[in-house]
Amino acid sequence: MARILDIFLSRKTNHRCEKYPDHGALFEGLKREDADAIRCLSAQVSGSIFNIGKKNRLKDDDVEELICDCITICLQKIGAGKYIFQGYSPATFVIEIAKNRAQNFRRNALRHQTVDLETIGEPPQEDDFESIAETELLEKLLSQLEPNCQNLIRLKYLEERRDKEVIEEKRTQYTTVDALKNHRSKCLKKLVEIGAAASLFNQ
Amino acid sequence: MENYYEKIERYILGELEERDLTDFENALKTDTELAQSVALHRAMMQRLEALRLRKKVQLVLEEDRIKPGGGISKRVIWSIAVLLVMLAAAFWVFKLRSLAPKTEKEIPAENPLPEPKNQIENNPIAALPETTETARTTNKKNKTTAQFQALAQAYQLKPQMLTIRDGSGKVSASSTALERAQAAYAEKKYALALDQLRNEIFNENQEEALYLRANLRFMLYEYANAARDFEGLKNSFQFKQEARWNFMLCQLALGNQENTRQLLTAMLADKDFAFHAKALELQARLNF
Repeated sequence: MARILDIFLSRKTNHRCEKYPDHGALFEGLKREDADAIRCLSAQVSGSIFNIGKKNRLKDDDVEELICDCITICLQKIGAGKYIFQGYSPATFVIEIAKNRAQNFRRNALRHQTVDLETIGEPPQEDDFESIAETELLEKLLSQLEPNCQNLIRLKYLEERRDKEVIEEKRTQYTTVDALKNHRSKCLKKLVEIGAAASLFNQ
Repeated sequence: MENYYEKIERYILGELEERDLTDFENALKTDTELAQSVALHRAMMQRLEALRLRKKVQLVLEEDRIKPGGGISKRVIWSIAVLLVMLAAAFWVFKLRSLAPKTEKEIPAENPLPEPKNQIENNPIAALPETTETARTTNKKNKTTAQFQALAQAYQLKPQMLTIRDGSGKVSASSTALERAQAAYAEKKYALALDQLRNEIFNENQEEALYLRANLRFMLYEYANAARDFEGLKNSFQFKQEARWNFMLCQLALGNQENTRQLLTAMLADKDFAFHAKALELQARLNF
């Protein structure tokens, strides 16, 4: 039965990655943030990350978050030009991120249990670390803005809408791009202020 | 100062025109508060970008999970499908094996079972062989017993229509049990026919009814009861030959091989036996 399942799993991965016959193609797909590339990468790393998570005694929900976080970090690094393709599979890169993050998860858990940390080792550096807690905090801060501001920031930064397109589609109350930009600047400033007050930038 | 704050976003996004950009950069060099605010804006925009990416990844992965036939659900569906196919195949093989003796291959081609369909329709429970339980003990025994039953059914000497006085099917309130049974037999409603005679006690003048009941029991796979009825006709002037033959077939159907062999040998040795040719043929088939 295990063999049969393996065949299906393997076929599933192959099916998801049909568009990306090699590592380079997948990397380019991820650079474009193609949904299919993300699916392919997820199919390639899910099994390994699941095992990593289980080794570090993570719950199923945490493992799913871990997969999501690791792929996000990979995309962030690709987008920021910090991860340059050198012929290796992006899956390998994501799995390495997962190992670090899983250890962090476990370390945090052990910290609460007051276990000696010396045996665990030092945490690796993660300058692009985007934790679920930070994501939740940012969402909360966004919701504190007035609805018009929330809309302006979401359209620009979360939905990546072009300002011209937003005006044309009448997605806001503004009729010119300049008016829209001016008001969004104020909204962003407000968000920065409440972010600083909430210690968002200290995390 | 406030004017520059409104330009921070445009500065970070690279949307400032050259003149404004120069002014802004000059202000950055002298105004540390503005520089700090730019850094915070940049950090916020990075976090918003990270949030956007995370939402996108989350959405794709969730879609993948929810999509019918996708992700885990597809895996599960495939696994269940494979299991079901395997179970169905196993069940089919098992069923085929247990039913194998009843297939046409097992029934002598030159003398097929008469009206098996009607018998089953009339009394599907009765249509099951009596020896079902014993047949379960081993597949081999099951197969052999069923083969014998099929052979016995094929060689049965049935009541001819001529021996039945009134096969017209006209039954009245005053009809006797035998007449009702004969009418049902004529219509090939064997279970119904047997029901008319099942609990009757026949005397020596009712051989015709007894012979009909014996045959009906035989046709409905009640071999032990049929054997008793045929046994009761062993001294019958009219039916003793047929009863003798059919009694031997009952032994065959019941799997009593030794009894069958002895009875068949006796028939073969008896030159006056009416169905000598049939006995020879059956003996060849049984290879006793």
